[in-house]
Amino acid sequence: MPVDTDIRMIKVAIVDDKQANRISLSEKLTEHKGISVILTAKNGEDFLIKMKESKELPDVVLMDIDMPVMNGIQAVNTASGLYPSTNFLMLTVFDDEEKIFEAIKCGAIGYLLKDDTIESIVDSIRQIIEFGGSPMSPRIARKALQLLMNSRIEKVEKEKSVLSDREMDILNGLVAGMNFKAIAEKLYISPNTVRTHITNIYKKMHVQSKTQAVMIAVKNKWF
Amino acid sequence: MLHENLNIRSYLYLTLIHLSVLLLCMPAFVSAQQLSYKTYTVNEGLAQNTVWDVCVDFKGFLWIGTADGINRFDGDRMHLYASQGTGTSFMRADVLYRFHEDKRKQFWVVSNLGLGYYNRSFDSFSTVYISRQFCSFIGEDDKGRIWIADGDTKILIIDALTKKIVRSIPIQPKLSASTGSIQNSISLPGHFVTTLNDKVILVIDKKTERPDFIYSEEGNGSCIGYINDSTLTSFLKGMRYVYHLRQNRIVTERRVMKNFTHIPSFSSYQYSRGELYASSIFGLYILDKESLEVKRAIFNFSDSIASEFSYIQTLKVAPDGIFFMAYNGAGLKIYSPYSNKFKHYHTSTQRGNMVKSICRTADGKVITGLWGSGLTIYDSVGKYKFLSLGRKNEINSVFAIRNWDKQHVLFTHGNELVWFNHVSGQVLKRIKLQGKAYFPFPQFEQNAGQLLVNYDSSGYGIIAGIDFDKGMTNVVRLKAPNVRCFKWIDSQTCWIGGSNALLRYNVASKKTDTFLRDHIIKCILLSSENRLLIGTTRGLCEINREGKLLHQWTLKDGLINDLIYGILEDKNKALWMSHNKGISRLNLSNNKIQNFGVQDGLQSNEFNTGAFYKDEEGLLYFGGINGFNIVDPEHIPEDNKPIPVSINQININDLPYITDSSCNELRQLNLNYGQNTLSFNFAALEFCRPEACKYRYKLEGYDKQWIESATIHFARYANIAPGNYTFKILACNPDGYWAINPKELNIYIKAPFWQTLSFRLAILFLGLLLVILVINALVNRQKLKAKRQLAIQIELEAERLRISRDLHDNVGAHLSYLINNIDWMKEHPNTLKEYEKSEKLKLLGEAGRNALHTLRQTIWAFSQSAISVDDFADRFKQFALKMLELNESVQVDFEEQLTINNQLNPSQALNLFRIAQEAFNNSLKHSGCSRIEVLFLSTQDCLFQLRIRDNGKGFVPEQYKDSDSYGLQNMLSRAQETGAHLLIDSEIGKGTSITINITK
Repeated sequence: MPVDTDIRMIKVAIVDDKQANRISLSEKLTEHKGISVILTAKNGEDFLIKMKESKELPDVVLMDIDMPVMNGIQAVNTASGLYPSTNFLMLTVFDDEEKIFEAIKCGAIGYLLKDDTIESIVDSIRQIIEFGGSPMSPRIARKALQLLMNSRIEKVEKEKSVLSDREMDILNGLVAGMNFKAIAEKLYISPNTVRTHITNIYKKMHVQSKTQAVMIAVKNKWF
Repeated sequence: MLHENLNIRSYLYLTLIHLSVLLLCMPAFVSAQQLSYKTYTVNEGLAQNTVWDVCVDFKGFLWIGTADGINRFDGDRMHLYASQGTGTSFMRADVLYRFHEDKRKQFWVVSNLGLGYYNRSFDSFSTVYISRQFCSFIGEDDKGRIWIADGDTKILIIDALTKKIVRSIPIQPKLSASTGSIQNSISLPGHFVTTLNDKVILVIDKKTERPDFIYSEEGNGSCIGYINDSTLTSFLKGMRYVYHLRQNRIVTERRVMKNFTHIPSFSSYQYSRGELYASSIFGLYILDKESLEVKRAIFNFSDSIASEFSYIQTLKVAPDGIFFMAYNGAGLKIYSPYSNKFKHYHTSTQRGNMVKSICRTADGKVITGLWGSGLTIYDSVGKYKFLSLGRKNEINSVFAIRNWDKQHVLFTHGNELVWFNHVSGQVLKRIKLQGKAYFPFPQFEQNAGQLLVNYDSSGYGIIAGIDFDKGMTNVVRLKAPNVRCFKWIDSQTCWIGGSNALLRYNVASKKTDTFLRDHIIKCILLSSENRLLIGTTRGLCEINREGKLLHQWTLKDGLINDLIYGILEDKNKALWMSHNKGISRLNLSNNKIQNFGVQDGLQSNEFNTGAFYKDEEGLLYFGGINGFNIVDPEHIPEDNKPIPVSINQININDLPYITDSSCNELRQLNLNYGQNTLSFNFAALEFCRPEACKYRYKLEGYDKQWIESATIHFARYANIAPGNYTFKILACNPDGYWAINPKELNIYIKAPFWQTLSFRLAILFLGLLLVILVINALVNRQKLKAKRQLAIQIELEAERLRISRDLHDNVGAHLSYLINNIDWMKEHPNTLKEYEKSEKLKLLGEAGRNALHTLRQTIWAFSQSAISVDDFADRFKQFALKMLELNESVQVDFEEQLTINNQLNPSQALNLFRIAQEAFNNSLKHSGCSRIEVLFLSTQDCLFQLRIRDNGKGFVPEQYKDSDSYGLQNMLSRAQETGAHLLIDSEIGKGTSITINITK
């Protein structure tokens, strides 16, 4: 594999309550060039504290959902408000899409299963850095469609979160079980454009209010 | 205090002028006894002042027949019964009503026009017979038949029950026509006797029923009187007729009545209580039965007073001595001994009636000292004359008078003491008292054989002995002015009543002690039992010799009034006190107090200080502002008859209750709910002293006790609850006797339908029913719940079993394969070649990932209570997409037809998912297809349908039915378990279609 010095190192943080998972994932990721694990934490609160102390901020945070003290969803909700430049990917054993969807609304931009191959994990991380988002399952797409079509978000927010026609087409394609390629072919656009659109859709789904979360963080001196 | 023997200058003050004045002021005696009557005239509601007959019926009502109709008096109001309209009625008469209450208590009325009777329950009169002539009442015979005379032509006998004429007897021969003069009838054991007019007396033998006549051309009076069962009398112009009724003839006897030649005739006779009373234009007399001479006059008039109006047309005397007198033009007068308990004497002028002092002389004269007008002297038969003492205003007042000896009285006159000979009418001597010209409170008192008097001398109260020759002796001079009364109780002690306290004066020490401060002392009495009793403005006080107050009787103890003017003790040791609200009697042995007022014959309710006297016979004299009364304590007539009460009006909700019958006859009052404010007007049937009746009433069922309403005869009850009540009234007669049997009226107020028993029972029943139903429903629900619980439990159990079997069959299989292989590799580290190892490890990783996938599906399905078809579809799409990543040559088309997003239960979803997975994998791996179509269907009729169709090579399903290849067997058994219908449609070369169907 040619060494590409231009490729900037992707800084990754891992939040998982199981030490074994943290170590094995950390080791596997470190093996790949261009990815460095700069922070591991055992739960949401530990993560927030460590983020405060950290000299550099991670680009991507791999966040477990079910954790003691503070779960991944709460951690994402708070941290996405405090660190807008950081991307949060949920990492879970079970694809409980209700929780995943909740995490997405709180600021996550995708999810991975823990048993996914390290290649697919790394691929997802890179895609996030490149396009800003990860693939979206039909279920999440359907929920996103429901949320963004029928949302009762405030007017100001609405302008930001209203779906474009193209985004709508893409979401409908995803719901219909089409992959990026098929969608791209159907819409006469490149698969990468599809990915960019999906990233935008993710961002529009970030509707959970951050204000309160940030206030709690400040109060607890996590920021 | 000073005690001095003042040298009072006394002098004889006898002049001719004085004497002449005294003699000039002695007119002839005129009658002075005043009788008290109750009078009913048009002012009291009578229809007319000409009254023909009067009667008290057995119910107690007073009936008055007037020239303008019949009145019934109920104690409160005069009801008038008069003929109205043009119909023929006996009541159209204007003369002569005669009342008769028969044996059956039916009330008959005969008028000059005919006969009628009173219908008590309807309170109206019915006509029985109309006459063209002049009807007269004859009587009621032993068979209860009513006899009347129709003019002088026939006699009619009427059956009292049927009100039919049962016999008509013609009168033969015809006599001169009747006139409308006074007539009366007497029923004797053997005869009816009726005066038809002033010349004809009709006599009917009751046995033979044959009429006979006593006829006299010159007249024999229009009124007959009863002497005994066979003797009657009549009177005309000084001639007395006596009729002896024998078996077959009538003997008439005539006597001349010398004393009564001026009387034209006696208008009415009444035989009662063994006395024969007769009335005439000149008054009312009691006749001697033998001589028929006047024994005494109840009252009589002088020629000047006698007139047509004082003419008594009918006299009735009740057994208790009450006289009912129906006058020709003066209404009805009732005389009652109970309202004349005390003899009352007064003069015809106001000046002679302000009695300030009184005494009775040895020869039976009563002399009253007057305020400003000298004396009035009443002789023993009650006639009086004035004795003006020749001065004016207060200095002509006589404030104290006392017998001096048999012929003389001593009295105060201004500031003089006067000895007066009441036999000769001459003043014997005058002594001037030093002091004011006018002192209103002198009193004479006896002490140690000497008469003493008190008066006022320039600010000092003087008590001095009176000596006819020497004038005033033994003067006690007190610093206290206004000595009002005094009493020596022994030679050393004198009790003195002042204007604001009682003083005790000790002769030896000359000291006074003060008691009863703030009491105005009016009189002091030392009783026969040596009790010291003080009459004050604050009741009667008894004190001991030390001045300690032993007892005080006031209004609270039953005295009529706290102001006591005078106290006298009668023979029975009862105290009689005069007040300014009547007279009271106190029995000291039991503290019982009885009060008397003007209704009992008192001169008025106001008496005077110092005007009280007790004579040697024990008669008590009390003077007031309208003459004086004599109390004979031994003979106080007392009415002890209970009086009935009548209910005269009933108001329902403040409107008069209208009924066919009279209110008083009602026994039961039935009212609706809402007619619950009741008021009653009632009255005692007492006609002489109605204002002195008291009442108590009670609404049984509402009032717990009797309500004492005093003289108020009205009761009102508001908002009475439905139910049964009895309204009871008791009256107390003016002498304090309460009736024992109350007047009663039952009242029933109907409950509204929602308060009736039947309605309540119905409601109770319905309520019970409802309760039972509710309990039943609850029990059923409980049962259902338990049943459901059980079902859920069973369901849960099944679910648990399914989960465990699923884990065992799927996850467990993968994991055990994984473990077995790892174990084998560990035990045989060198058996496999390097590439084989890597192949093997890849397989093992696959197995682990499969275990995790399977577990993930299990968790997906069982973590939700239900899985919607779209969720199922999305998950399947996710799975399919993942599979396609490895087979990029195959194109998959998904189609959703979800008209209704139905729900699957977890095990259904899981089984279907596994079937679909199997089918999809078969198509992908074995059919060699290029295209797979997946259809999800969820509609009204179809719970869920999943169809996976490929365009691969196809197969013959029957060939694989029994083998385990392609998991067909597995798919079928899963479908069976889920209750789904699995259709495998495949043909070689034509692709395969697998449809899973679950109906509702």
